[in-house]
Amino acid sequence: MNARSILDHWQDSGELDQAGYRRALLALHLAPDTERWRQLAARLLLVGGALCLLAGVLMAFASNWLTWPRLMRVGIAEAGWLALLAWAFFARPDSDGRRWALFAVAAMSGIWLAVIGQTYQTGADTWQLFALWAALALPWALLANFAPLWGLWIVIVSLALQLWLPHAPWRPALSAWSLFDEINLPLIGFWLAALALAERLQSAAAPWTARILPRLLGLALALLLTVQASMVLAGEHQHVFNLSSSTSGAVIVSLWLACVLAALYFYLRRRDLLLLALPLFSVWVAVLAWVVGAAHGDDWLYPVSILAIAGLGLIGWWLHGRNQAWQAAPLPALTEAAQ
Amino acid sequence: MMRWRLPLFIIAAVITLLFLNGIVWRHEQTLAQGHAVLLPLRPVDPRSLMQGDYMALDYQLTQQLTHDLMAAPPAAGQALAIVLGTDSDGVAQFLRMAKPGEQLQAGETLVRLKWEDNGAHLPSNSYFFAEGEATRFAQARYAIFRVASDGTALLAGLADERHNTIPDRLQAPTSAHSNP
Repeated sequence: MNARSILDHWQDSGELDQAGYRRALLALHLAPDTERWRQLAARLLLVGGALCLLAGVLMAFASNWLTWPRLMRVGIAEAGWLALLAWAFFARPDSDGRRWALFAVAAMSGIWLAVIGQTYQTGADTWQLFALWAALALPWALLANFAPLWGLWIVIVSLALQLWLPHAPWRPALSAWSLFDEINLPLIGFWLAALALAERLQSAAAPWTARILPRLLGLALALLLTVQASMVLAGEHQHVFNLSSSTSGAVIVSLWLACVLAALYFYLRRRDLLLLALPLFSVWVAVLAWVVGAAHGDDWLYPVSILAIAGLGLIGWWLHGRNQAWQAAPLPALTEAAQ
Repeated sequence: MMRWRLPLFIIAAVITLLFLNGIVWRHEQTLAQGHAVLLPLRPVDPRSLMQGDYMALDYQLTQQLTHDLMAAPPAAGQALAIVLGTDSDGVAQFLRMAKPGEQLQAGETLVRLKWEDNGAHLPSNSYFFAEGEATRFAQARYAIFRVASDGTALLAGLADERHNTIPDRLQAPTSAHSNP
């Protein structure tokens, strides 16, 4: 319960009169003063203006877009890009405004490219659009060095890799990945490289918000590898899709196991509880998938349930122990950063 | 802006501008100066989608190519080079698959297509137009492509059964032969 709720509760129960309630609000800086009202009004106007602008752009596209000449359509996209470029150029260096302007420039490069593609209908593959967008966005990501922009760039490259896979020259040898089919090794390689780079560039003492990108990458990798490994261990690749070979199954399980062991070793030293939990839950899911795939009949229901609950309890108990140990003996780097 | 950032900012901006405007310039050149080719359409229906009205396009040429090559299909994504001629009516006809370095005869046009999993594809399989124009475009019987010397084909418009271009905005129709 926060301070405001406590005061509200006291006032509702009659323990605090109106004057006292007002004094308490002012003393705790909970009552909005003129400055805060002004800030709120400015923000409301800003949000309202941005929404009006967005609605205007949407209406213009919806009503007139295809009646405009080709060059005007492309020119409007280019003018939007140039306006964002000017914002990025004139924004205060190393400010959030400049970083978001560079984010917008990188995003607008893709929109401009898409408008060209739609206007001229060149028949280029979608993966080529995303690959080109990633190339155009890379300098802006390097300039901004801004986690949301790196996140956008990783998403664009991931889409390019995913869409490129059916065209990959080695595809006939290893088949292509789909959600329940085979595995996109280039995508996993890219995510692993991005995660390794993010961990190398980022201090272990970085605050929680600065570690969102590596954690999202870790989560994505854990999901992708766990689903694939579980499918192989449960035998679903052969039973349902009849597309897998024993070779690719062994590759998937080996890759998953290597990543689990590497993550356990690294994040135990790194002391990141969330990223340490992911390989443990991954093993829990994979073991359950293997047991369910091997077991048949209702007799297995209770043993599997007990295994699932016991596994979860064991993971929770061990993680709790790690957390307590880390808090009792913080890393030297963390101690220095706190000071 | 830090010392190394300003040059990178300028280089990135210039490269993006040159590259994307270069693409637009090349396509405009193809549409303005490319060789006009009239391709018969298979029956189509105007459809409405989130992007506005558009017409789904299917071509007799790609149907014929798909039929001819299906026995030994090329790899997905492989480019196909074909040679087109024109019949007495001025409509493009498939002559043969082009050989590498082949010299074309007078009246022949090289066109590049792509083979996907389900057959041969020209660059455009839809034609977008403004809302409320579906009735006019339902009369389309031919697609007008402009083809560059390297075989790159861009959809320039649609034509009715008398080969008249259907204008994007209402104006006097012109002949596809003279001014597609």
